[in-house]
Amino acid sequence: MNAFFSSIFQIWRDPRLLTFLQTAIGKSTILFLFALILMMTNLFWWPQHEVGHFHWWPIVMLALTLMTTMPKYRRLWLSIFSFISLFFLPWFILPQGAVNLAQMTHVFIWLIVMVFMMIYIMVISTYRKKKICQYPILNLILLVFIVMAVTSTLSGTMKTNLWTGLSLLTAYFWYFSYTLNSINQYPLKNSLLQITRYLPFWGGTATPYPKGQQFLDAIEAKSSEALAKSQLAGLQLLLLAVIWYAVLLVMEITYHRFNLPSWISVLHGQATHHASIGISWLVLIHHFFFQMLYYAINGHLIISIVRMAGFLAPKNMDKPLVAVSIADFWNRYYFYFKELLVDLFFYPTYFRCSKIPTQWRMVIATTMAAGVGNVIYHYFTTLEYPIHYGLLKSLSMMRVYYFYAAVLSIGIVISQWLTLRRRVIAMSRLHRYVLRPVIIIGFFALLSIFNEPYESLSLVTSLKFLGSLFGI
Amino acid sequence: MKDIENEIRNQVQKLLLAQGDSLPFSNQDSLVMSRRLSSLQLIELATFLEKKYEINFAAVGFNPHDFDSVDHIMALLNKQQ
Repeated sequence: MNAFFSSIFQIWRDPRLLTFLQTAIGKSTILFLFALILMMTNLFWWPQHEVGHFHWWPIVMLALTLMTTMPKYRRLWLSIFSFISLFFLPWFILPQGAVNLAQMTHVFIWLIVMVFMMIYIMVISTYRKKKICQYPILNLILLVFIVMAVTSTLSGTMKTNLWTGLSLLTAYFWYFSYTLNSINQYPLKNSLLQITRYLPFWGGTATPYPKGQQFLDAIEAKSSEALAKSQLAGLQLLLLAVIWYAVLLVMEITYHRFNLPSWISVLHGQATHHASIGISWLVLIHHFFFQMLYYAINGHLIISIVRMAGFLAPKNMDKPLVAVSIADFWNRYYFYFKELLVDLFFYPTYFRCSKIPTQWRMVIATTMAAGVGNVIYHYFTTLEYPIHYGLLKSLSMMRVYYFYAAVLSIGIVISQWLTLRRRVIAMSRLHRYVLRPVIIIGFFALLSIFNEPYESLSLVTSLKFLGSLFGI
Repeated sequence: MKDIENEIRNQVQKLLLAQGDSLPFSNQDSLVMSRRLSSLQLIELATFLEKKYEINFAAVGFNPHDFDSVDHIMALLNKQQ
């Protein structure tokens, strides 16, 4: 068996394969294989989860073909196809439905948001020495909250249009924040051009895959050999996504065969009188692994396209079950979300607190990232709640998530302290490969009870479910 | 300059060994993009540079890409001195 797998890995690593992929036939072959698998994944995965019933793979493949045959214009194709996909693919969903750019009002509001971002970049770039311009992301967050508060008091068309504008701005928010974060590294023209690549054609969520312009610059294939390596890694990742989908399918069939109650019904206490402790644990473990597989498949699909486009990006999820600490698990579970919080909240806070002792700098910076940044991110990505319930009520409705973010921050801080004090290399094999993973996965599985920004009814309900797992 | 480079290399090696990574690395090898160094270790490295070479990252701006390889770190130090 081992010989079979090692021979497969040998084929992937064969230098002759890389040489072949640099030829016209080789490029056509890998594009064809990728298209074939992508088409199948489009049939079974994306339609029901992300993009309605639209079959998006032909657009993606057209973009990838042009980027492969004309790599010199890779950035131009990226901008063009990201713009095209805005009209066809509802990557970002507004609370009142998908953004419909066929509607003139939406096009007009979209243009206003674009112009606003351009003006904001120009102001920050021109007056970067002024004190107020040194916190562009913080100012933008405050501005969004102020506009939300004002919008809540309005009514009629004005209110609808302002919410549409806010929904668009928050969909772009973290892409835009990466541009603002690196504004000193690029000339103004380049920073402005980055706007055309927000919500790229390869898909994603409010979290930019793979980060911002600086990251793209660093991972871009600069030779035909590098492109071949990147595309081969893309194909491998797409195959891995298919394998994980098969695992998910088996898991779901088994789950339904045993007629187990749904996660939400158990969490909300509707099924607790039926559910024994064993069933509750099973439902929790299933929920945790379902989410993990779901994020793995989504992330692998997106990153496989990124790699095919010539950007050798790291995986979004990378073997979380072998994590050696809570911080390490978070790093492996959802890499690009973790990076967003680290780049935009952790580093700026840590280095601005230079007069505070190192341990306390870590505590403050971690709380800002895993706590405050995490909550703001989720608040901005579920605008339907502030729209329906107003600013203050929607903020109070997230109280279970505040608890989640607080416990996560504490867990990461403790994990960081332990990592700094007691090095991993000093652990025994049993501790490293058995005990520690069980503790880490157990921590995140139990914490997932509270990882529902709005779905959790109340903290008491979630705590009751937690208690029920231990017979309390 | 060679002494500084050696000191940086030692520091990086210490951080890599701490997580069981004993693979060799050249001055050009990627450390951040390849995920060999985590954000926490990056912070440790930056704090070391802050203290040892008095670099104020709050003023000059912190960019993880400046730490991607030993050569990148040396370029950062040269720029600051």
